[in-house]
Amino acid sequence: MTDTREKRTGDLGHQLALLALVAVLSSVGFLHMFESVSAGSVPQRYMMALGAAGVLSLVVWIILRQLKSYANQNIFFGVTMLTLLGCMEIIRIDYENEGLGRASSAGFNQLVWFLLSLVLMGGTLVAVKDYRIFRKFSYISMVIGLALLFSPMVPGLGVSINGSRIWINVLGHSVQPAEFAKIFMAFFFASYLFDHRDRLAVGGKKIGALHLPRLRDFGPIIVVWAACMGVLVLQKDLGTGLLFFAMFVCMLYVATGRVSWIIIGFIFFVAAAFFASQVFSHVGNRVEAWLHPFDNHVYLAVGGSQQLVTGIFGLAAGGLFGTGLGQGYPALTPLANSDFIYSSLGEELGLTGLFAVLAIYTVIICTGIVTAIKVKDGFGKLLASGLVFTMAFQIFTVVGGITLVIPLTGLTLPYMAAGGSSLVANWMVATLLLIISHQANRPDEDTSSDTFAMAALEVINEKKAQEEKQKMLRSHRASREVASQAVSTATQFITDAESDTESDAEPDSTEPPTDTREQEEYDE
Amino acid sequence: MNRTLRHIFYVIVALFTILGISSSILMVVNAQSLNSDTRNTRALYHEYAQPRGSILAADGTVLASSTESKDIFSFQRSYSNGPVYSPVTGYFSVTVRADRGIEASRNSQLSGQSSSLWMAKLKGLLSGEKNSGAIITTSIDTKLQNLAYELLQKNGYDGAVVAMEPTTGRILAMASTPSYDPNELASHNTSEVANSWTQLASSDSSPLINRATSQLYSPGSTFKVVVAAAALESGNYQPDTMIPAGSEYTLPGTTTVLPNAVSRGDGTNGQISLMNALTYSSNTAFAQLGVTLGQDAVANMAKKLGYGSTINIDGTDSIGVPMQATASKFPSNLSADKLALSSIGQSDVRTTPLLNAMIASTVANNGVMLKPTLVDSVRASDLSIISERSTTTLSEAFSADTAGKLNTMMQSVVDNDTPTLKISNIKIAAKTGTAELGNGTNNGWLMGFAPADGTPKIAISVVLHGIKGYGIQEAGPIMRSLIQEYLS
Repeated sequence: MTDTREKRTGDLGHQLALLALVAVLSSVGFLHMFESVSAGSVPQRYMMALGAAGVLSLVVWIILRQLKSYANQNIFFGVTMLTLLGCMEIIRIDYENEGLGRASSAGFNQLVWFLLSLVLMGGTLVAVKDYRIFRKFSYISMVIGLALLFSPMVPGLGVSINGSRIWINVLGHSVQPAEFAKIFMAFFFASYLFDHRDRLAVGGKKIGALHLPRLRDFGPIIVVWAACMGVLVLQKDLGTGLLFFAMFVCMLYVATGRVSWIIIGFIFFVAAAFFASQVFSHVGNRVEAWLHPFDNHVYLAVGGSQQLVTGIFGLAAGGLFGTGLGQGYPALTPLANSDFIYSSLGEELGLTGLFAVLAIYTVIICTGIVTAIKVKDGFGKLLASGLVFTMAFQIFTVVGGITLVIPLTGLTLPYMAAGGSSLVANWMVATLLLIISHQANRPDEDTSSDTFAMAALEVINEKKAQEEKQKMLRSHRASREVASQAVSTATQFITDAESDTESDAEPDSTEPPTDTREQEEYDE
Repeated sequence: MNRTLRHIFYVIVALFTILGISSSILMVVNAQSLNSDTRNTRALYHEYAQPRGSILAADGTVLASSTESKDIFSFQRSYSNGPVYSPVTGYFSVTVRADRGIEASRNSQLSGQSSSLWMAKLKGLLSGEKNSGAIITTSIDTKLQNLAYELLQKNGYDGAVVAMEPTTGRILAMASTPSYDPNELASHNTSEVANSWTQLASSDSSPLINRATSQLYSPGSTFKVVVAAAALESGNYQPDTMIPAGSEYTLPGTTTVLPNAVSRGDGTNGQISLMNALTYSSNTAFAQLGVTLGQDAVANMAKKLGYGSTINIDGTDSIGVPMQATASKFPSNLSADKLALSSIGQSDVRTTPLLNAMIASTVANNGVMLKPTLVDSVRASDLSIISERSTTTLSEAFSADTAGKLNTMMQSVVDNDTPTLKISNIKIAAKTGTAELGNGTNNGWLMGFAPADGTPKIAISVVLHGIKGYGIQEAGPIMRSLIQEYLS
């Protein structure tokens, strides 16, 4: 951390190289694609939109460099590359659809959404000086999140497309509010769990190796579970329910370090999923299509595996190196540009191309996790890890669904799939990660030796706290030990809170005592 | 919290590893079987996306070609004079893809996928041009083929004509009626194609069957050529050797009496020369001759003349589905009465029209049986030659001496028994055949070649199924017209 300042200046070459790589790769890709689908002529509207995207990306990069100079720009270049790759394939599928008499301008729309995403990212980078501001609105975030989540159910506002009621009508555009609800719920989860993590970490009864949490701590998980099931039941949206649940369970684990929460969460979800597969025909169909995709009666059934299998045939047609952009038949698969963008890309770019895509996702996710590890305050850790894990989990459910690892969930691949709400929302996620990353990497304005000493102290404290916590949990000793553990927890909170405040030197005066008091109160 | 974050990271790595593996399994490990799934239309679209090579007649007339179309299949296959050439071309459809004929036997060359086209593929890759399939030039003579089809079609015959070049084995014409139009099956409308196909496949007249190669007929008296060859080869017989005949012959061990069709086949005093026995198609003489020669001698000659083996006409397994003629049959373990009947081409002897054309060619070609060929040359889309036909010997069935004698005897058939076949200035050698089907109708046959007194240019076999009259009456004019057309 001490050499971050030097690294910052040294980074320019690295950043320029990445910028050039993205620019060259996408230019070559787009030219090749247009060469193949429209004999090399690039229609003017695409030319304008792509030009604008190039200029805006450059502007956002400069803002990033000036205002969030310590942010890890891999995230920015990664999502830009993925978005451009997605647009390329969506435009290409538009051309194929046009040839089949199904005119579509999803590709151009996606470019417009990309421009909007860039503007919003630039604006947010300028406006938000410190991500911790979001912690102050934890319950407001929850209300907004739930309101967004359930808004499609409001008569007159909600729109039903393809049998799913997960859209709302905003100024003539359909918007998928769940995508934005995801971010607000992340704010709420992160701040809630950061505030209550110790209470949740304390165990109740023990069954075998499993420490059951105390019954009264079940409250939040029940509420969230109920909300997710509500989404699942009312909107028939298995994927979104799963995603929220995964986000919450992940953050819960990061906050408490207790595997029991994961196991309980998993059991709850499996129970709900089993219930759903029995009660809702579309969920049951998807499970059936996953178990026996190639059986002829499943293949031919209404709501059967035909779409999935057609997508798989696309992947197989792609093979190792793909058919080449514009040479395959991705549009044979229904929803080729959204739910099945992965198989469309696989068909034309091959396994090689898909591995490149997965590698870019991995870079973004690794950068996110490293950011979470580096950032000193717990809210930031929870927020960054929650957002990143949700992204990773979403990729897993989408790709896993297409490649027969799990049943299809109806989620779409972040940054690549056609759909404005998803694109804009995921760009906001990237923006948040960039801001957190900037603050995580920013060297202390005070002497660097102090920073180092503080970091070392934190590590020692955390280790000590963990050891004692475990010891305590094993032996169930009386409150004396609990108190000493609480003291060390408090010590750690002081260090957490130090980075939590605007002036890094002074500890927050209110929070640590509050936590300590709560701790004692519950454990007495 | 960093410890738990690391755990989260491990979970993510595990999830992504699963995705890498699952993608690899579908895209590489299982790709082959997925691509060949019948429900997978992509392979079909890829096959259609490249212009399929043309199929040409010997003179360059286009029989089948692909032209750009404005739908998802990119290219439309079309056949000129479809029903005339369908036994040669086969068809290429969206439902069953390449089937029958050259389309099937040269599929990978036509589609441009064959490894023999690697040079063309490389050039296409470098120049950015679409990889076109190879051009297949057949040995078909358009005038002969058209005439053959027209003569069969005119009277609504159920039959086939095969014409070959005796010295090379090149097939000059191969017609079969009733026929089908491959254009009906080449439509891009899947349900339309399925309908047409069902209609053709379930039709009682079996239009999809190439009778020239895939239908077996009782050869009738044309089989006497085989028996005569066996007799001459045994060394015990000459054309003027007198053999037992008579107006009637009671099949050994039975009370069944075999008569002759014309009294000239009876001979005098129960004796007839081998030459006249063939000339007047004496049943009594050949039945007894067969019994005298014995099963082994007749069966051996039949085997040398191609009975019992499928005959490859075109293609190999590596470039498509080879075009083959069904194996003609000469039964084994015959009782004497069955041997007698078999020796006059009745009972269970079965022959394809192609084989009879090959037997006529063998007589014309000094006893050497050649492999029939349908393709003269294969050229890449830049017209560079990829492969050319070569003459292959199937068997040396009998000596040139025997061939010469059979030639004379078959000329005698035309000169003495069937003068209607005669053409001025052209010597023709032939053998008729009329196999009774037992329901009042016959299989009428004619096989022969011309010119019989010089270098033979054409050997022909005609079969008409279910006709009322004799072979010579109905098949005769067809053969005569074809020879006249080809040689004048």
